[in-house]
Amino acid sequence: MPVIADDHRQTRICGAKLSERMLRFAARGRERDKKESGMDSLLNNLWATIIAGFVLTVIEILVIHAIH
Amino acid sequence: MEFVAFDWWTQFVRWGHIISGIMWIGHLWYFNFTQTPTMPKIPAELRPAVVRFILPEALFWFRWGAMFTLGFGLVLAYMNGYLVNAIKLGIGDGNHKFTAIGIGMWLGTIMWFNVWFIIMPNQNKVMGVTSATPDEINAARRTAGLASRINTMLSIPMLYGMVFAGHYY
Repeated sequence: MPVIADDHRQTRICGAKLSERMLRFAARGRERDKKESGMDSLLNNLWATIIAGFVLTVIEILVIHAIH
Repeated sequence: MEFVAFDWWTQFVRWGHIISGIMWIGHLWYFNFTQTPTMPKIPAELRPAVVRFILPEALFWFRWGAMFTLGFGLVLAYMNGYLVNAIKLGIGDGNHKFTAIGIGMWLGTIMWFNVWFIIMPNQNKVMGVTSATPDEINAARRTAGLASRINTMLSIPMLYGMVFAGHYY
């Protein structure tokens, strides 16, 4: 038990730089979680949604002609 | 003579399908083109008026427009004898029209499902019709918004399939 406590303390004291890096790493992870997915950002932009609708229409026309 | 042979029921169902469809997609585009982008610009003290008075009324016509569009559409396809061909996307039929209207029908059905089973349950949480915690309300607002945007995106190829099946192919 004391060994574990010492190890823990050592990490916190000696690893000041490491802790900062870890904090930055954790923060980056949190930022990544907050970021929108590609689908979210597409659908949050009205014009991108409309353009995507027209792109789907072109694909639809190609599918119709591909089937026949 | 031609007047006597005029197919009144088919015409009635087709007209019902079109009118309901305009009611549905008109409200969908109102939400996405007008209400949602304007909400952040509305002063906080006025927003409850939109959520409590305009939104429930608009959602009523929106969801029943979707229901009647689907109902009239299926009946119309059946009366015209192409329901099964359209569901099969015209594969093996050698007819562009069935593929076009079939894609439109499938997209419309997905949109109808979104309205009744994703948008409405979540909007009911936002409007306070069903109880929810503040976190659940925020999540519901986002889910309903995304489903609504997906429907806006799908409405464009859906309308192409519906209209061009009768006028182009």
